[in-house]
Amino acid sequence: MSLREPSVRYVVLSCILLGAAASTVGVFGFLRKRSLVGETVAHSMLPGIGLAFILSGSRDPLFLVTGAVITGWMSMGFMNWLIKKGPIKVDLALAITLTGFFAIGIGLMTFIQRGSFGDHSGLDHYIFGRAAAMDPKDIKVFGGLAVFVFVSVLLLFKEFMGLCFNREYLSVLGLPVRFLEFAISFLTILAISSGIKAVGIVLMAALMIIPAAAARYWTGSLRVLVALSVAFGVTAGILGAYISFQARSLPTGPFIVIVLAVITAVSVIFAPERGLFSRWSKRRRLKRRVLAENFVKEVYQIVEFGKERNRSITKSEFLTHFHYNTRSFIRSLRLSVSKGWILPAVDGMKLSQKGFAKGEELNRLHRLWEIYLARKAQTPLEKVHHSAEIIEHILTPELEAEIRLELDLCDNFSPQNEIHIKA
Amino acid sequence: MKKIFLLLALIALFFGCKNEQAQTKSNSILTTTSILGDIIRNMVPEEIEVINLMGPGTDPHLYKASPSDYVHIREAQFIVLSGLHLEGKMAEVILGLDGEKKVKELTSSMTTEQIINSDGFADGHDPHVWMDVEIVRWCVLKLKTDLIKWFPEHRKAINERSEAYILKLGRLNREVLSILNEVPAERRIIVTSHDALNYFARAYQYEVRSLQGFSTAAEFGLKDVTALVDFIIDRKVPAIFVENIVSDQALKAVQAACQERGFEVALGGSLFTDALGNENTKANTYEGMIRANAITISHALKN
Amino acid sequence: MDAVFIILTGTLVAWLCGILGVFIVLRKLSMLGDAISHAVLPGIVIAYLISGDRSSPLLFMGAALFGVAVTVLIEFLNKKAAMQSDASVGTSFTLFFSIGIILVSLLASRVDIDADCVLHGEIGLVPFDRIVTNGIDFGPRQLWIIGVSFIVVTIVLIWAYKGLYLTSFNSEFAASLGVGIAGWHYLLMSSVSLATVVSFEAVGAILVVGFLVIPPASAWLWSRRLNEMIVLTLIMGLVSSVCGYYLAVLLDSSIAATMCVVALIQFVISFLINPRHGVLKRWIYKAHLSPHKPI
Repeated sequence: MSLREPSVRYVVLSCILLGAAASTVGVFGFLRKRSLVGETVAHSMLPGIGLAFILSGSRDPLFLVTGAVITGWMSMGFMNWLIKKGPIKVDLALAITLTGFFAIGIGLMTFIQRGSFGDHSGLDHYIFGRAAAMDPKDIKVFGGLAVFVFVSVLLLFKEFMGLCFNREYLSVLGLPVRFLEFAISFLTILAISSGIKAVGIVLMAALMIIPAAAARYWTGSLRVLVALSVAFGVTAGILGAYISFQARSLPTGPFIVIVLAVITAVSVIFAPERGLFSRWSKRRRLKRRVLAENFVKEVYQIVEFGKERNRSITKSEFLTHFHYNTRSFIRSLRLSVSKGWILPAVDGMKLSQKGFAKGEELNRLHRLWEIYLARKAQTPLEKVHHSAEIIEHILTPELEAEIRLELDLCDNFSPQNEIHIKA
Repeated sequence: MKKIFLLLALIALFFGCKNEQAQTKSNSILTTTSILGDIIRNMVPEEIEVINLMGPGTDPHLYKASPSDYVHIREAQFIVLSGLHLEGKMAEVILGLDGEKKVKELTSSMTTEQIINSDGFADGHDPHVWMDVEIVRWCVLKLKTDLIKWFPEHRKAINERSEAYILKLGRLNREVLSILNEVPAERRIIVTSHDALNYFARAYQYEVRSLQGFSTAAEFGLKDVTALVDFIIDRKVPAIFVENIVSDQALKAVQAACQERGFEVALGGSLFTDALGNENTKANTYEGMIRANAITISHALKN
Repeated sequence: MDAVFIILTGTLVAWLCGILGVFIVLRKLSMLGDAISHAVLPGIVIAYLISGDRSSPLLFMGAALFGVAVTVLIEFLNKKAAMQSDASVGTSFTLFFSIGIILVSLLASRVDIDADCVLHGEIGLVPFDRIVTNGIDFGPRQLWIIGVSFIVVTIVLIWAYKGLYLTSFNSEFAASLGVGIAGWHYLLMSSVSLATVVSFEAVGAILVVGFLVIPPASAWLWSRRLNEMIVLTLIMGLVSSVCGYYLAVLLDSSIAATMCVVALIQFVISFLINPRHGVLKRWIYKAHLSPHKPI
């Protein structure tokens, strides 16, 4: 994609600037769980366009955009009023506002159509642009927008974040909450109206939702969230333009959305910690650890029972004490061996040094938890075992220390001396 | 509280149930587009009323009917549509009324050679037939027979007026041809944002390039824009044209790109494609519209 | 008679969408109607490509299929991928819609596919489009379609009432009881998709989204129980339809839009005056508590 081609330059530059500005503003919407405000406000601009046309008699985009901004602003006010004054939740307020204002808009359009206002068709098409048709004017507009948004966000970062998470705290601190709300709303309207004029409703809505949603998978830090959202928005702008440039009839805006969707898919699946793959492998690791731990604990119990630490146990002997089918036996054995807890022996298996310690630890934690439940939580004795079977795997040393403190146990607490009830 | 609402609603419904005797208008023709309305108006005498659903400046693709329009449809005995699915869903529904009412499409008499198809889709006919005056003459000639069948008592008047109109359109066609022929062959390129001029191009030996196809839902992409810019610069197109019902955002962007590459292409003016112009303009009649388009195109391209 | 048919159709759409909308609103998925209206585009385009015919029933099926598909995606993002619900909805429908636009542009760019045809039905045209066989006029086609849909959905909802009730109000409790939450959810989502697509063709997207959300919202403000909420939704839908039609005739404006606006007015009034949450009530209450007056 040649940047020497002026149209390409217009589109790519505009998309970068708009993408950056929109994603930033979108983060706040996302954090306040009102991402769809872009969609709502965009639809609410229709009556404003109609009114502006009726009052001014012209299709000059300046008038139309002004009208659009006014009703867009009103719609945000209406929506906020519903949320603030009533038990109406955000999603409901958005839906009601969107439908109500849009219906009024359509009513106005029909009215315009009936009168002899002259060339009135496609008024909304004057407002809802297409990404591929950017020109140098747009670059200037978006440049200005991006600067304005970034400066505002930089200056008021903490305050905006506070507004998203803890309004009451801000007002207690004496900060002008109303003004901050106004500022965020203003930035949102500004972004939406300039964005829609260039790229249309759906792309604008997408730019305000998807980058933040995708970025959220990668971080819990707010600064990183904003930075990543911007990165995603800009990348999607560039890649989307690139793809749409490959052949005829490939619309630019929709491809930007597709790129955003791909970024989201990658984030959803591969992000560390919050991604699906990461969660799946954590679960898998946990499962395997639990299997191995259970196995080594059971071997320990057999060995300990006979007080012979180095005794080796045959498979059949093991199976008389514990119920395993062949597959799960082999699997658990393998896992325990791979963790170094079980060693193959002449006639079966035996515990390694580590294995013995592990088994002892598990046993101890199990008994500890049982005592804790029995004494502190008044759990009936029949139920404590089942819970301990689970909890023994996740008690950390710190937690163990705390529990011992709670129970007033001395340091060389030995589980043998306490009651152990098997379910 | 609930009971009050319910009562109110039932009362209102009751009023609606009173059998309204719909009047039928036997002495009027209902037409859809403003262009069609003007054409029909020229074919029938004063005694027959011509009611037009879409006023000037209304894009047929975006038209939304209102209750009074439905009353018109209900009351009408004779309806003329433009045809080739121009009016969308409304056309389908109105065609379904053929039988209890008399419904005719202007384009129904066209042959398959006359109709311009889009590639690959049998159903995809270009409906902008009125951009070719000869086709309109043909259709008027054929439609005259139907109108006479509808209004036998006005046979003479319809015949006279229609024939006169056909002659008038013939003169218009010659006039338009001479205006358009003033443009040298290599400059006969019309660039617009939307594909409405295929019939025009075929009839008057022009080439048409647009950014977007017929559909309002389809979108052009970056490559389409750069291809158009290349085309304009390659062929040294003097001017590009906006349509009266479509936004000029795209064309302005194309113009800016051309300018940056060193080629000045002018915005040649506004063309009337899907609807007549305002009452105070010359493009308020079909003839006026065609003539205005021809003058706009010729003026912009020949210099 | 035309008026009656239009009002009846409007009322049935209000009822069809309203009873489903009650659950949608309670589950905090109010933007779903708008999302579906955008998401069905690719379904329509693909169906058109296959059938080559603008008025094929395949278009409806394509739309319905994608309507359900988008709810599946939303659910996946929300539950499995732990994305907040508003972002799930937004991501899903913008993606689907964009795919639709690309398809239209690529494959049908030379054709007036007029996706609007299927989405922006016109309620005013309902009386003209009739089922006539063997010389017998059975009445408006859309009225029949919506009527049958309404009956089917009502039966389904009666059967599913307990499950939906539980999973709408307290899903954790339902889960602990072993109730299949996902099952009820998909049943509801499929019903909504089908009902909305059917209604789009009859009355257009704006009215469907409006009836899905606004009367239930108004009803919710007044009611304490679910069955009250449903009954009130039905009543308010009826009022919106009737008053909306006559107001539209008076103003000579779009019928569907006016019905929506009437529903909105009902909502605003409810918002202001209802006894439990009403704004005016609390404002008056606050005034009474002002320090100048002895209590």
